[in-house]
Amino acid sequence: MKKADVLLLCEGTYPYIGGGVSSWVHTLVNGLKEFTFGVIFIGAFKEMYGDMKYKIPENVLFIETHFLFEKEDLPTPRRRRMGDENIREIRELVKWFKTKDETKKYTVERIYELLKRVKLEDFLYSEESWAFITEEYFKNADNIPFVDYFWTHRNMHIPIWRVHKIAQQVEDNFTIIHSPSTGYAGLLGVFLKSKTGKPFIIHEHGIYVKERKLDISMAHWIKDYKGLNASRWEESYLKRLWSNFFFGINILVYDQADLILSLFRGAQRVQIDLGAKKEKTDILPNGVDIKAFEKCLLSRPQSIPKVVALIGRVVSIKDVRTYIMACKVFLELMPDAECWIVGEEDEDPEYTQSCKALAKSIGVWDKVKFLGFQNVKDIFPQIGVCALTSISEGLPLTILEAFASGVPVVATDVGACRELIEGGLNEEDISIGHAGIVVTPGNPYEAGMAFYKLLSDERLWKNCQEAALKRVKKFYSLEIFLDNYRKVYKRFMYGGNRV
Amino acid sequence: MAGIGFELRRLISKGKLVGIFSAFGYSYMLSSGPVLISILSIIYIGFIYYKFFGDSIRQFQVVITHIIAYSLIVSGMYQLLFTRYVADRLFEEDIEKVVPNLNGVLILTSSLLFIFSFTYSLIFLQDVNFPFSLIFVSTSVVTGMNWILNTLLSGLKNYKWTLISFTVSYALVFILAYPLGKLLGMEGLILSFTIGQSVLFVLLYSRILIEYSHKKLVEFKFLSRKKSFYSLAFTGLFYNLALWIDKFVFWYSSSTGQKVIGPFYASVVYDIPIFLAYLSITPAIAIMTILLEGYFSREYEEYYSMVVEGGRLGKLYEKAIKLAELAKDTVIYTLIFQIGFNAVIIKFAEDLFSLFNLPFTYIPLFRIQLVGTTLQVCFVAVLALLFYFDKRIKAAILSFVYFLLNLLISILTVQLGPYYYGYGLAVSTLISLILGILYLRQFLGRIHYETFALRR
Repeated sequence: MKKADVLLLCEGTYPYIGGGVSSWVHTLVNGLKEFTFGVIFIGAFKEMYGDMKYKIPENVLFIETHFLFEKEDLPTPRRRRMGDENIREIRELVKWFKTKDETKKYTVERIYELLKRVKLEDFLYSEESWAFITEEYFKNADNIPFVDYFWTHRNMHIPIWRVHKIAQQVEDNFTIIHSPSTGYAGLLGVFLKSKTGKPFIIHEHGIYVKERKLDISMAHWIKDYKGLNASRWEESYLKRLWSNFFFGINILVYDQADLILSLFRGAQRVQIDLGAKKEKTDILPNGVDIKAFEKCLLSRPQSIPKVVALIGRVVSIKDVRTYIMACKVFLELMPDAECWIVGEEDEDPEYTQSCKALAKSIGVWDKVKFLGFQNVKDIFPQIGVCALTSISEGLPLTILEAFASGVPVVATDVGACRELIEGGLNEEDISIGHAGIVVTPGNPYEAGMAFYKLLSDERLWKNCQEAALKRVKKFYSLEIFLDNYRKVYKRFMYGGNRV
Repeated sequence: MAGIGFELRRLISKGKLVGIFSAFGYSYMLSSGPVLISILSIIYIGFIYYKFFGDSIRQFQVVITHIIAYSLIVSGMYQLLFTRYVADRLFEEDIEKVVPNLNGVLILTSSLLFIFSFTYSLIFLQDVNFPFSLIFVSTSVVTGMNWILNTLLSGLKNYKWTLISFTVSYALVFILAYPLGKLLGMEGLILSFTIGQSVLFVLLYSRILIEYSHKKLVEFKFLSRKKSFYSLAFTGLFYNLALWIDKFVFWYSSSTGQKVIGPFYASVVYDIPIFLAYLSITPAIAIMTILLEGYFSREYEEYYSMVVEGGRLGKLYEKAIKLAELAKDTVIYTLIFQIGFNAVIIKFAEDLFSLFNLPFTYIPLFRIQLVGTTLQVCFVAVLALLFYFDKRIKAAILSFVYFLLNLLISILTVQLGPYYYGYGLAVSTLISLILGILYLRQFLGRIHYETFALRR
């Protein structure tokens, strides 16, 4: 196998699953033809992934796939012992993760070596491990069903050994380790770095820990005790167990990474709050291919179309229900307008159903149109406002595309939205002005009024369009993005590991 | 969104304990009831008809005892294996698998028994007349199939029907024995047994046909590696061998055994007191059944449903302590109860022996055999408990150890002389029992660990 310049660690994304991060990776590998790449894909279960979703360019030299949760791969249950020395170290390590006592800090190299001695079957089946788990249960959670505790605990930790095994198998034929997320992929990066000493770059698209927290608190599937005291717990124990776990991984990743990139300032702040050293962090926003959207801009009609569109999958995280209610507010004021919902509807059919039912029950069914998946380039010229009501976002590509097509945006104050709309990278960015309106998440009235404001005030709209086009060209073009990455890669390939 | 968050949902549901073990162990132990009925019937028939038939009744007894022994040992390989297979299918509610596989196991067992008894006839029964060989072979085959049916029906908790069928059949043997014996001599007596077994077969088999619908006629799925546990065949074989091996040692040792007819030997010294000893442990079997089925199994089910339904570990600990106590009580109470009963029997041993017209010189041997059989009931209880906890390999090892010990120590006692007779059974059972209890203790001490951790 040829040596790759960059080893990309993709957790549940490129090249098997479509979506934001995957297209980001695809853009990157296609745009930087002068570098060679290797991809390690980490999935959950083999049967979840079909064929590759992308045409792999020639500079991607290899793609390895691994699965973390394949049950059949677990070793045969047999009574065993891991030895006093090993369990003592494990206990110390867990204690360190809990207290984060800097003086007793564990080096990642030590963890990597420890995991060579303490095997997965030791964790699963050894008597010492059992004793430790039950001890922790009695100490922390003795009022929740043990079967849930035990399996949550087990399922949570199994991937550590899986990831460690992958790290041991991966050949040392790359120069830079690059992961677009922390989590399990980040952990793999950590292990690979301790194995090879190669530079390790993290580029977070969301904040993994925060997303996971959201994921976890929205999950009904983490069965939990809802007894007398449960209400007093801010999050219930099992959910906390998960988020603490990912938080622990995060600390390792931030600690080990040589460069911690984020898409926008807000995300960088969160990274620093979560323990990333400030001097290791930097912002490297996404870019959009402005030329590709030039046509959208040119084909716009003279007058502003009285159409608002939410472009995104119909899923609860996009809070489509709030959008529909905002449409109600807006349509009361501007009855001749239309509201569209453009995006896949089959990911969460139940949610889609509830959205449609809502539209019917509040009497906007004939005005709010569910268009399903469409080519956005056909949509942008026909709309006046691009709306985004998400309760969580990273740096939404839709906003950049809307800007490039000359469409102002109304978006909730999550992720990079405010930075994109109002400018926030630097003074110059701020001076460009507003490219739309930022609203509070979950507030239909505010959003509806914002739609109305933009579509009823042509001067405001024109100003926003101008700012949008200026900002996207200046800071968020594909060329700038690729150029930034070129610099990052070169720095690590030919220079030291420091920023 | 990056990551695999939503995929964890599947994981949680995958990680759940998948069902609980289907308990079937005690049914096997219960099926020893009919075995007892069979042996006792033979003793009674001999006792009552002795004055009419003299020596032929003794020949009849010995031949039938051999047939019972061989058929139990050969069919023993499939009794447990098959019953467990059926229990699992019933757990999955795959009822239509019962009859075809029953036919399969019957075909297999009868073929094996046919090959065995036919070869046996060719080698050992050359001097005896042909009709005798024919009766020998056919009786072995039918009896062996009846053991399978008996175990299955007990497993299906159809005790009543089994009991009625056995009683009816042996009553028939008793009634037919007189005219057939008068008419045909020893062969006639055996023929009455053959007829009884055939009627028994019809009674048991038709019951299963009536209760279980089926589409296919014959299947050998119970032999598939995926669906069955071969260790159970091993356990069944050595358990039955262990139960009989001390008798064989005494029958075929020159100092203790005598030729009765052809290759069929018996041991006057050993046989009569051991039959009485088996007769005496009937109460222990009853008590053990009640303890296991009435008390232990309930607690057992409660423990595992508590595990699955999300009990707190503290509560599970409490439950497991109760479970362990009940397991202990099952063995201890059975033992204590039988010891009390034995005290009475030994006190009146002389009266008992005069009732059966037996010389008092057998009484010391009877006492030690009584110790052996009493311990044997406890051993069966331990074996049943091991099956409850799905410890098949341990049960197999234990049965093998028991067989080996009983064989070796029995041979040794025959060498050592009359004072030591009976100790083979008692000592080997005691050692195996202790081994079993020690293992059970260990297991119950870490039951949660085994239930949760040793699983994937």
